[in-house]
Amino acid sequence: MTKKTIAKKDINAFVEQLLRDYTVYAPAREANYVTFRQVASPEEVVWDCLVTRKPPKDLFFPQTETLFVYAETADGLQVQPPEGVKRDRILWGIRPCDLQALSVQDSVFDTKDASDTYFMDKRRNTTLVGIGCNQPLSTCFCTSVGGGPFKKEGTDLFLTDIGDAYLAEAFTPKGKLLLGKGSFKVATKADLKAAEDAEAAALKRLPTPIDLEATKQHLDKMIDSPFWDEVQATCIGCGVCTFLCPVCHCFDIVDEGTASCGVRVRNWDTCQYCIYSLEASGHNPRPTQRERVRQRLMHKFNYELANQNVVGCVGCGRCVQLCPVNLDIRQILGGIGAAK
Amino acid sequence: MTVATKSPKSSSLVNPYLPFPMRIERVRVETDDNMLKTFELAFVREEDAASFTFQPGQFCEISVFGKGEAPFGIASSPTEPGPLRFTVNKAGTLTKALHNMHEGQLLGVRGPLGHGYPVHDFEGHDVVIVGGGFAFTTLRSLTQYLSHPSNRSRFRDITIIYGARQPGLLLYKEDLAAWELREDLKVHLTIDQAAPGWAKHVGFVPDIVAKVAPVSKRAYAVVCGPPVMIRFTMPKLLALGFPPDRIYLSLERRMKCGIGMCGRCNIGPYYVCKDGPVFSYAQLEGLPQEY
Repeated sequence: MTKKTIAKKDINAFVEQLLRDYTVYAPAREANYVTFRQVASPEEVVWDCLVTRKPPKDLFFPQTETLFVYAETADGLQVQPPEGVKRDRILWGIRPCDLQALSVQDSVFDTKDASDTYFMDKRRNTTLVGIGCNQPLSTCFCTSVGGGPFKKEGTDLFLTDIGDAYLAEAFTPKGKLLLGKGSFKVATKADLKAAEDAEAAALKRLPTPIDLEATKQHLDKMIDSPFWDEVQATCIGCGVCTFLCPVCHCFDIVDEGTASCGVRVRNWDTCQYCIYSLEASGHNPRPTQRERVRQRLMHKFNYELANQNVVGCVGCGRCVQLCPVNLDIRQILGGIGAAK
Repeated sequence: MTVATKSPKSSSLVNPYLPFPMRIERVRVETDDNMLKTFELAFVREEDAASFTFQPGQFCEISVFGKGEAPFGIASSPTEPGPLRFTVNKAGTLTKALHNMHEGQLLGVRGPLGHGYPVHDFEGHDVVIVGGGFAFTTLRSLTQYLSHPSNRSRFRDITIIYGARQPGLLLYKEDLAAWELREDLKVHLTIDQAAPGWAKHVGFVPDIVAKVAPVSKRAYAVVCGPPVMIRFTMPKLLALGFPPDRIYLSLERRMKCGIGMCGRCNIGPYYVCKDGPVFSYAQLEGLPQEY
């Protein structure tokens, strides 16, 4: 691992340089919120937003994505998938929770049985520049679910705010390549100490870990628990918790067009909707919101642990911030610990 | 273009969402109410035909372009050369469009997907096949497979219990007639209510299972039917002494991707598309009954 520093006054010049060689996505203003989007200049980058409205998941798994174009021709029906990524991309300023979410999505979209070509193409052609969280928000709980405000796994280059400068740690050849594009200096002992202090201070603001294995075991016995009736009584099934979740990966596949030409697209979908599991016969295996809220919690804290040995929640707190009826997944997890 | 289901090497190179073309060779109406049709599909490209091998119980995603994709069990058996068969109930937008298609038209197909019936485990055992309504499709595939002259000797008694609301709603009437003539197959057909000219069983499938009472010692049971039939058949099989790990169910759920990514079809930690659609009852015990 290579550890360098870059002065904050030099960081815009660094981003400027990156923009020459890459397509850069970063937290930036859009309407009245901050979200990840392509930026054209360093000035567009928003530095002080810990939790963007939307996670960067749509840079790998867009909300709407064309799988292929189909057309009837003289030779029969032709199907043509879109071209892949043409210019290397940088995802600038991804936070540790969203990084961890990306690694969960890796385990969904790239398995021994099948590999999602669309997701993997974007993943392979993107360099991840992570940044630590010096001042976690009151809705943040990454440390409860196995993450941390400075957890660097999966990143190519990781930045830590140490006052007048950033400590930059390169973990991969892709990350090291970036270090050649800015005015970096070798990190001193004082720099490393400052980074350690920043991490210690951030950790103090965050809650303690929850026992994920015990939670899973509780859930094993909670299929028919009245607990879900309590949760569903509040939930209005809007699905915002899943759409804005950096981990949630469910999608629908639909055709737009006629029998002779059109496109097949996939769209984000949510297990919180009635129609999600409704069958053409009229049968619905998850007929009420009770089964749907259970599915969301079970998937994140039981099934994904069983299948992929990962938890389907990274503690970003978006669902806590944006739930219109103030359901708080932290309280639900607390309730699971107590529920019979 | 084929879908990689086995080799990890090839999986990253193949786009699992691209269907290959198949041509409708023949359409036949299966039931009196015109709601079920069997489509016989032929490969258009040599390479697709060559690389397509499947087990009874597997399914395909069929594209009706402009309407989308839906999963259908393969009703033909690997032992039957020629076109693949799919029997389709007219239920929603896609199946209605499919029912309006005719010989010569092209469809897109992805597959085979999922895991079929564990036929190798059945070797040396009795097999009891229990089906209801139009869910007999992959059970037809299984029956044809087990009873094929090259396979039959590897299995002991084969019992088939199949029911529909009325005689005219039974699928594959020619096959049923042929199976009834065979000495080495025990076929029990039933309808829900007595009908003129019907001299076979009358009653719901779970009751006929109890009445026929197949011997559970050294036997496997395979069940496929509407959710309500499954719910009432399970206790009957358990009461007959079938252990949960020797009862197999083929389940259906709304599906999209067919490869365990779109998240839609899970029952507990299992995806019906990728881990099923065939499950042992032992696997499903203790999970939400979301099927």
